[in-house]
Amino acid sequence: MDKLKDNDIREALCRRETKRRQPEVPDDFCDKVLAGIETPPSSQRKWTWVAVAACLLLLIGVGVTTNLKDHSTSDQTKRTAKVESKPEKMDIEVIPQKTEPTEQPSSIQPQPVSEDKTTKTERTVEKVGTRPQKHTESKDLPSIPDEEPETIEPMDILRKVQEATPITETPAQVYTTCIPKEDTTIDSTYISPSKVDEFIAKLADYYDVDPITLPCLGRTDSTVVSKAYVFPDNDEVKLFSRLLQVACRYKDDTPGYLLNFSHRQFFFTLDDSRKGMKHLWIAERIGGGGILLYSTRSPKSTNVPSDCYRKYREQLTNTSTREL
Amino acid sequence: MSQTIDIEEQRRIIRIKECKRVGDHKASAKEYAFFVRRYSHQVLNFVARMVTDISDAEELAQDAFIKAYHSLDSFVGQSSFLTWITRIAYHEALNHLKRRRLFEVNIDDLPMMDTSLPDDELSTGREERIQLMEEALDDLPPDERMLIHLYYYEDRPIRDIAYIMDVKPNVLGTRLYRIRKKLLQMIKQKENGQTQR
Repeated sequence: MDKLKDNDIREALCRRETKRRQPEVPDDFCDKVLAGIETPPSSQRKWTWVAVAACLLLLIGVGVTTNLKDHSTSDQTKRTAKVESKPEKMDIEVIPQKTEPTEQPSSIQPQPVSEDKTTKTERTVEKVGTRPQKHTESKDLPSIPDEEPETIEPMDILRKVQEATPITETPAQVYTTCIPKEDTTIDSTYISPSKVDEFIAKLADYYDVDPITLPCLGRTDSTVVSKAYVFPDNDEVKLFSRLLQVACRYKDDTPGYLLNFSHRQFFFTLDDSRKGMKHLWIAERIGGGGILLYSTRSPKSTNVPSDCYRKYREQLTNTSTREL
Repeated sequence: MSQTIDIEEQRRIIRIKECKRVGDHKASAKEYAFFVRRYSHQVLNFVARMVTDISDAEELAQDAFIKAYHSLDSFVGQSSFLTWITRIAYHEALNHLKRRRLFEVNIDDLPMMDTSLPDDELSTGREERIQLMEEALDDLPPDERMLIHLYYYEDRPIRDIAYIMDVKPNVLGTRLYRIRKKLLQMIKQKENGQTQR
């Protein structure tokens, strides 16, 4: 059985990312792109296509001519040979060719042999001349495939995702064990619960609220992250309604979904079955015009005690009481 | 969600298309600069994950933006602009690597994979295992590394990754499985190498 743990892969990727030096966008990046844009390649492209088409036509033309030449030369030799050996039979063949260059009836009535030798030769030449015409009319030259390469449009992908069998049905048994069933079946609509944390972090950044990391397990475990924020409780921030908006992005059938809120408290939990993590967010109105927002993320199997949060809240309320 | 396009972007794209239609290239380029400034960091970062040479990465990211501008008419807004340009950048980078691969030895060609290894549990501790995993990730070919990165690190939905990589979602599942298996084998080999030493 595959014993690669998703968390290990994530941890390794996280470490790689922290070690990795982010490339700096050079100052002239935008200018270079715009310079590349402002020289419209359309005319150049057009000429390229014209040149390609011309080359193809030329090649086809050369091919046809060579083919016809070979054909006519061999025909001519054949016919000349025939004329020399069997002149009467030649007449029978030649006359219908002259009148009907395309489809010939199977039963051809032989014309009476009343023409002199010069006419016969002219007709032979005429016949040779008609052959290439017939050949070009048949249009059996290889045509250039002009179908466009298949491109996957976003709508197609959406449709395909809906039609696609769940990944659990792949022959790969190990993969199915790595990704829980409930997750793969709704994979196309999967929204990582960490998006909520990202939103909170951005909001905190915007309102200059510093996050406080709470060492809830008393040790440095990178898999358990508990943070607390104290947002101002005012109409500008509208933390409760914003949190509700974010929570509403998740369907109520999302694993671990639990949403509860009142005027005083907001409580939201989600499970990330793809990562095997559980998330919890509690926002609570505390004294002093502030909202304490607590967020924690931990592996499903780990129990994070609520003591640290309670202690921190008490500490905060005491501080604010004392301040008052 | 990355599948939706924000209104500001949509408005600008319409304006660019309009400017292009009337032949006002200056105005359309000016509008397009918004997208270049907004996403240059993400696109460059994305390409730099696949292409190690930073000057190559810069050039490829620029090419992706230029290509996106010229084929903006084909962009119908079914995905976000970022996802769309990421797809273009991914293929640019992949083509670049393919061209370069002619002169390089592919990691897949090296006789390092031993498929006969039993699939038993890794014997190392977590810390060691993660270190080995980091090394193994570095050894993966760029496209496979990118898939792992998009799926496990960026948490992108399969639908997005499939769009970027231009493959069917169920194929991606199989590919992910294979890469995981490959990673496991690479780690085991590294483990064995360590114990032999």
